[in-house]
Amino acid sequence: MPFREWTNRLRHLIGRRRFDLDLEDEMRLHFEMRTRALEESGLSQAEAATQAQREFRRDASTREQSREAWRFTWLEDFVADVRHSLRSFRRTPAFALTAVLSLALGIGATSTIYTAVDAVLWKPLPVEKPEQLVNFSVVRQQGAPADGPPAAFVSQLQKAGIFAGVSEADDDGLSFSYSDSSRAERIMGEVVSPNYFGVLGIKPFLGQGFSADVRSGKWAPEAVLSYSFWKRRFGGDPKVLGRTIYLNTYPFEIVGVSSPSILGIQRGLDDQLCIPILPPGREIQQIGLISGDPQQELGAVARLKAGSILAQAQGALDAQFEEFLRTTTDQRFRDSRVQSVRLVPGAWGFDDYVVAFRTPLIVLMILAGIVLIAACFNVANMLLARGAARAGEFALRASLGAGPLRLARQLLTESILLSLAGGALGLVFANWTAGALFGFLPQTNIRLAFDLHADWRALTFTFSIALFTGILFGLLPAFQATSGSTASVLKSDTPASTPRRHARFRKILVMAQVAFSLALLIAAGVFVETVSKLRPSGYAVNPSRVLLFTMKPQQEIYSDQRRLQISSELLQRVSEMPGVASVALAENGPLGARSNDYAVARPGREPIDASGDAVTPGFFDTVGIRRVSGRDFHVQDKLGAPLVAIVNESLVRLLYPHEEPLGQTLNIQMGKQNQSYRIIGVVTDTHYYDVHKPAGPFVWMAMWQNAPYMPTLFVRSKLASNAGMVPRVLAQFNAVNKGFPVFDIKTMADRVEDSLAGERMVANLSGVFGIVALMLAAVGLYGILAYSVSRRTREIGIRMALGARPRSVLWMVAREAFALVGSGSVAGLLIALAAFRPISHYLQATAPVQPTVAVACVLGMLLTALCALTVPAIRACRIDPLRALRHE
Amino acid sequence: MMILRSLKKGPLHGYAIAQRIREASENGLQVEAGSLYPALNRMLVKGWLKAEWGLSENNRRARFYSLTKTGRKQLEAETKQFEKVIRAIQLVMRTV
Repeated sequence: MPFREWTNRLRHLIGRRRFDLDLEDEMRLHFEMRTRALEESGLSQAEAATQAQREFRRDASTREQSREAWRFTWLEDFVADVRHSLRSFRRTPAFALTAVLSLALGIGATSTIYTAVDAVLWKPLPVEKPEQLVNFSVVRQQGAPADGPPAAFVSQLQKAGIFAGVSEADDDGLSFSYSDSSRAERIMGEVVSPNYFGVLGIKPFLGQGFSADVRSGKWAPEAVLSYSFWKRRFGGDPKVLGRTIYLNTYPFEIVGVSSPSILGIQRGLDDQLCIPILPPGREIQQIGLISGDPQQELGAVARLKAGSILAQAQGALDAQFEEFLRTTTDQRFRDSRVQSVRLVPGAWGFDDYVVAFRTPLIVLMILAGIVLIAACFNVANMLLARGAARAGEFALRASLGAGPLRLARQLLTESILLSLAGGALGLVFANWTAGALFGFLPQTNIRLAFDLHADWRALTFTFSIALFTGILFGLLPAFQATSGSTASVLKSDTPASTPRRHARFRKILVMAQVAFSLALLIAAGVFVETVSKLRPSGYAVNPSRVLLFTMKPQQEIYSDQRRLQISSELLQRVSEMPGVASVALAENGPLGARSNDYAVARPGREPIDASGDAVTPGFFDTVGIRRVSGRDFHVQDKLGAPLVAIVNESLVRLLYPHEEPLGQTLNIQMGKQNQSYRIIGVVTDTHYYDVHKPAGPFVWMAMWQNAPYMPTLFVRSKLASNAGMVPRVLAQFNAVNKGFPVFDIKTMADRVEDSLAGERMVANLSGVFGIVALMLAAVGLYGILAYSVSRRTREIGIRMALGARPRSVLWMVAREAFALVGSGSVAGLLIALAAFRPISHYLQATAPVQPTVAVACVLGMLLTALCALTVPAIRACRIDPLRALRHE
Repeated sequence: MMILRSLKKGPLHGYAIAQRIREASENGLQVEAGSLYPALNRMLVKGWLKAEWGLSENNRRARFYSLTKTGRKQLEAETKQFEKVIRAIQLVMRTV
């Protein structure tokens, strides 16, 4: 049907009354004119009228046919279907409510997880034509490819004209201050080429981005704030433009506020402002990262020219890179450490900060899908039961001339209406829960943020899922309703005459529900087990009493000497505070976001890989790592004194298997330096950086023999509450110096939980999903049992009349229930065991299926079944034989 | 087709269309109201015609039908098809 015809018919549908009046008018006119014409031709008035009347004898049918031409049959039928469905839902509100709620749970779960996965992994950057963006992957002779091509090559590319634009971008923490009186704050700053906003096609929310001068290559200290930072720190004040802020004490002018949707090209990273990189060769002392050093390697993003494809650009890029290697004066590249530069699609930005959440989120997506399937089974089951009860209605309609397709369409309309209502409600659920999901995100010295607004992608997903499930679970009852024979249903009035195979099918549905929910519960058990197995030991001595404060005295502002001095003064002051048991500094500390790896060796042997950290005296006791032998660092281990190290037992096992480790020499390679350390102590193995890997060799160095960079203060408190402690420690920081930021304030226990964020998220949510599926299974079970009891009313009545005791009736009902649950449980156990192998392959370090967990889950299942059984069983026992038989 | 043709010169109301066809066929063809109005409405739905209320020659409110662009195209196509068929029939009648 052409579109034009469509709109015409629609318009007619709306102005139907008007049309009828018009037609009436028009035909009356025709009649009168005809009469007049006949009169004029010589007939008498009466004769003319009779003649005209004769010609118009099929007046009504003319009108009907004219109207028929306009009818919009399927739309009118659809409206009738919808009306009919709504009416029938109103008649059985309990059914409609249960169905909609079941679906809302299933769709809501799926939609929540989808929104999260989409925000974290799948959504392209909110910039203009993101598909044109490309990133660079630098292939080296050794090691993994890196993101950043050398700055000198980027400026060569900017002139080469292969791309519509090339821009550099990198992130770093900066100390931010707005006025001199308050403490400096930490912010994440994005350091970008002046053309950044142009290349990405971002329209700033306020201001014009960087000024024309800056964009043309003349640098000026300008900053563009992120929308969220502007809202939070400046209260959304539009007069903020032109004000001065201090970044690492250097004054910058605020020239703009970025658009609300863009959070930078690092996925998930909460950048707070953007500042321009200096032109090549220039630098300012306060901010190392923005210096125009042609040797540094920052992340880069380029926009392909319109119509150009990746392969073309790659060819041109290869030629440019060959030329770069030939002409560069930088010895590092002349040695061809870098082999080639490859272009990769950049529509999604860089995912370094979110890649850890990929596996947990996808596991959750699968689990949510299972919940949705269970919900669908539930509703299909309910619809089948309803269909059986309505067999009479359908038979009557069929005998009155409704075709099977018409009936099927009516049923499909009902199920789609249910699923759309469920989808709408699910969206409300999803809106609530998406925020809760991000409560699991670990916030460290690097803060993460995601745009979780339900956008058109989430809406489309939710409603297509709703529509799809509606059709899926609606087809079955539709098929059922149209397959029965009309005559047999109309003849007998008892529901017992509905075909047995539908009942059998419903039982299979319930069994599948039981199986799925059991599998989900067991999976939840496995995940919980995994979390508790991964939870690192070694910090067990009351980790919630250890307070952590991370600080960053910028090395551009504070000299090595000054940083050492500030740190030791701080330690001194805090250790004298009442309520403090012990205090220490560590460069990284356990289970934070930062880690270091070194090559360590016995002199003259092959080096091995070991992780490392730098700490002050008292660190092991403060954190709760047990010392095995030797001594702790002490204040005499300082700059100039002989270098000393403390190692863990793993390292001893690997390097000094049968010897006394104390006093041995250990060579540690740090950058280009290789220095010899004397081992003075041994501590137990702990999961220090990555809880997912077994504790490996580890070496600690004395912080006073180097200089701290971004150290964390560990304070073990003797007080019962941390709330009072935090401001008092912060006051000590202020007393020492206000020029550097203190951030990421939490307890050691928080760090332990954060290190398991992904696993905890999966464990908690799969538990919730399991319980939801269990509830759905209970509803399904109740449905089929209630139906079965009502179907067998007469049978039970006869049995009771013949002397059956309530106990045996009860047993009859219970037997059916436990047969279903039993077979479902067996299937669920099999599914869980079969699925376990691929899952444990996918998730590292998964605990095995514990028999106790499985047994507990099955018991839970049985208990739920018992609850679902109660009402139908009682009803069965209360059947009055007389009434049951008279009912026939 | 004949209705479309009768509207080629300009808008007409229902009675006038019937009149026009009768006159043009020298009373050979009588279009009855019973088939005229359903046909008109079918063409309205298809968008070949549009209808507007206006005043008839004797100052009565009447609904005037006129051709739309697609209606004109349709008329052309149908006329061509019709001529083809007529020609074919004529050829057959002459030779056999």
